[in-house]
Amino acid sequence: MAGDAALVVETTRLTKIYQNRNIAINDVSLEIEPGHVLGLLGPNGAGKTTLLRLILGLHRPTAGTVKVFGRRMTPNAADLRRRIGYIPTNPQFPRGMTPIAYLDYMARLFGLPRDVRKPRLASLIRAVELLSASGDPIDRFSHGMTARLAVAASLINEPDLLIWDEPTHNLDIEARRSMLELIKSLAREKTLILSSHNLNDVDEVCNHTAVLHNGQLIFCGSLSELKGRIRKNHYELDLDGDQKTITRVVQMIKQMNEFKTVQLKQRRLELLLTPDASNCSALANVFMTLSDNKVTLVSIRSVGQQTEQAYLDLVETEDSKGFTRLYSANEAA
Amino acid sequence: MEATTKILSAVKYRRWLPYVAVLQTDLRQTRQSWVYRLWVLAIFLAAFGYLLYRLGVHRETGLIQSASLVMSDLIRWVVMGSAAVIAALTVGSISSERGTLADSVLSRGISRYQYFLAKWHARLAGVVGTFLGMGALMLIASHFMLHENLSFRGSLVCLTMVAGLFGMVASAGVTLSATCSNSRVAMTVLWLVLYGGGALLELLPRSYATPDRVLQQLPEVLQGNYDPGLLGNVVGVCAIASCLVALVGLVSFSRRDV
Repeated sequence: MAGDAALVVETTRLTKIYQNRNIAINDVSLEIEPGHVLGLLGPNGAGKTTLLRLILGLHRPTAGTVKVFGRRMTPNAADLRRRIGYIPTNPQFPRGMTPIAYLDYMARLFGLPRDVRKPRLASLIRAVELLSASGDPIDRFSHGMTARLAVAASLINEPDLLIWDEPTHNLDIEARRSMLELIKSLAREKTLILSSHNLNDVDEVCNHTAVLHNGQLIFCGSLSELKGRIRKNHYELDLDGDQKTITRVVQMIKQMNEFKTVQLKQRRLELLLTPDASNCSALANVFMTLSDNKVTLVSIRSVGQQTEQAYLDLVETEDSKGFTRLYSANEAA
Repeated sequence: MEATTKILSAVKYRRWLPYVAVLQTDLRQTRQSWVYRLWVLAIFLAAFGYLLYRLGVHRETGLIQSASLVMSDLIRWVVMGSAAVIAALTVGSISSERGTLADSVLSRGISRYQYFLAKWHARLAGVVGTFLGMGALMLIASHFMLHENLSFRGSLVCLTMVAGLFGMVASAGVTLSATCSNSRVAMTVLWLVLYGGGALLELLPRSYATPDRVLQQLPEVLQGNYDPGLLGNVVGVCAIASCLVALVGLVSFSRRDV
C-alpha cells in the first residue's frame, strides 16, 4: 500500500447511535484498497446497510470518521459521490418516470453534460436489455427489470467505487447469474463493496470480506484468510468395498473417542470431530482402520460451504465471548 | 483503474446541473399534483364567479361596483384560503419523497444544500408565480367587468405584498418538510403557526403592519394610495423572514440522516 491516500474507503472508529436508542455501528475501523471486491457479511440488523449509508454520507456518524478517496465524506461531499455508484437493497424509483427519463435525471444529478449523458444512458439501456421497455413507466417493471435499471443508474457516472447493497436480492436464477458475471467483469477495473446474505455469491465474486455482528466488525481480511479460520471438524468419506466390512469398520471408528458423531449412509461415512480433537491424528486413525480392513477410500471432503462454515464459526465465537469481548476490544484499541 | 480515472477527468461536470435537475423535476411534479391543480381551479372558479356575480348586480340594479373594493375582498379571500393549500403543497415537498430521496437522489452527485435550495426555489416559484399569474388575470378581468378605479402601480404593489406573504408561507412549508419526517405533523405545525401566529400578531400595537392589517389596506393600495415605507416594510420583512426560515431548514436538512 502506498499510504493512506491510496485507500478507497477508510473508516476510523466509526460509531452510529440512532437517537440514543439503537447502536447500529460500533467502533468500526475498516480499510478498503483499490481493486478490492469486499463482501460485507452479517445477519439481519448487523449494521451492513447503516455502514454503507455512512460511507455514502447519507447518514452522519455519531463518532469516528469516514474517508473516501482520501477525503472526509459528509452529506455535502457531492464531488466524492460523483465517483460512487450505489444500488440500495430495494431500489425505489420516482413515480411515473420511464427508464430514459430516470437515467437522464440520475446523470443530471451527477452533473453530466448533455453530450456525455445522452450517449451513455443509451448504451446502458441497451446493455441492461431494457431497450424494448425504455418508454414504459418504471412502476410497471418486474423485480428483475428494476434491478437492471438500478445497475444502469449506478454505472451512469462511470464510478471508481461501486456500493451495491444485496444486488442479487429478489432475483431469479438467470438474473442472479448475469449479475454475478457483471460483478466479476466490473471487478477487473473498479473497487466494489457488496453487502449480501448469500455466502455463495460472496464466495464467487469477492476477494475480501468484512463480517459485521451486532454493529461490530468481527472480521476483515481476504476471503482465503476467512476460510483459513474454518474449524475443520466435519468430513465426508466415500468408501468402496464389501458392505459388511464397511459396517464393521464404522463400528470400530465409533469406538474412537475423537469423534462426536459417526454416521454411515449407504457408502458415505460422515464424521464429526469433537472440538478438542486433532483432525490429522483422528483422520490418520480412520485411514489406518480402512486400510487394515481393505476398504477403499474413494474421496474425502470437508462438509459444507467453506465460507459459510467460517462465517458461522466467527459469529458463534463472537457470541460465546460474553463480557470478555470488552477486554479484547480494549486490547485491540 | 487509471484509464477510468483519465476518462472521468476529461468529463467536465456542470456544478449546478444537479440543482437545475431537481428544480425542473419539482416544478413538473408540482404542476402535476392534484393539490396544485385544485388550488388553481378553485381560485379561477371563485374569482370569475365572484366577478360575474358583481357584474350581474351592476347590470340588474345599476349599482356601481368599485373594482378596488371588490378586488381587495377577492384577494383577501384568496389569501385566507390559499394559505392552507400552500401549506399542504409545500410541507410534502421533501418529506413525501422519503422513499426515494436517499436511494435515488442524495446518493448521487448532489449536495444537501443544492437539493434543499432547488426544492425551496421550485416551490417558491410555483406558489408565487401561480399567484402572480392568477392575480394579474383577475385584475385584468376586473378592468372589463367592474367600475375601474385601480391604478397600475397600486395593482403591482398589491400583488407584490401578497406574493411576499405567500413566499413566507411556502418557505416555512419547505423548511418544515425538511425537518419533519412526517408530512401530517409538518402540516399541522404549519397551520397552527399560520393561523395561531396570525391571531397572536393582532395583539401587537396598531403601528405594526400585521398580515391582516396589510390586507385591510388593499382597497387604498389598489387605487395607488399606498405608503412606500409600508410596502418596503412588508416586502422586506417577508423576504428576510423567508430567508431566515429557509436557512434553518437548510442547516437542519444538511445535518440529518436520510
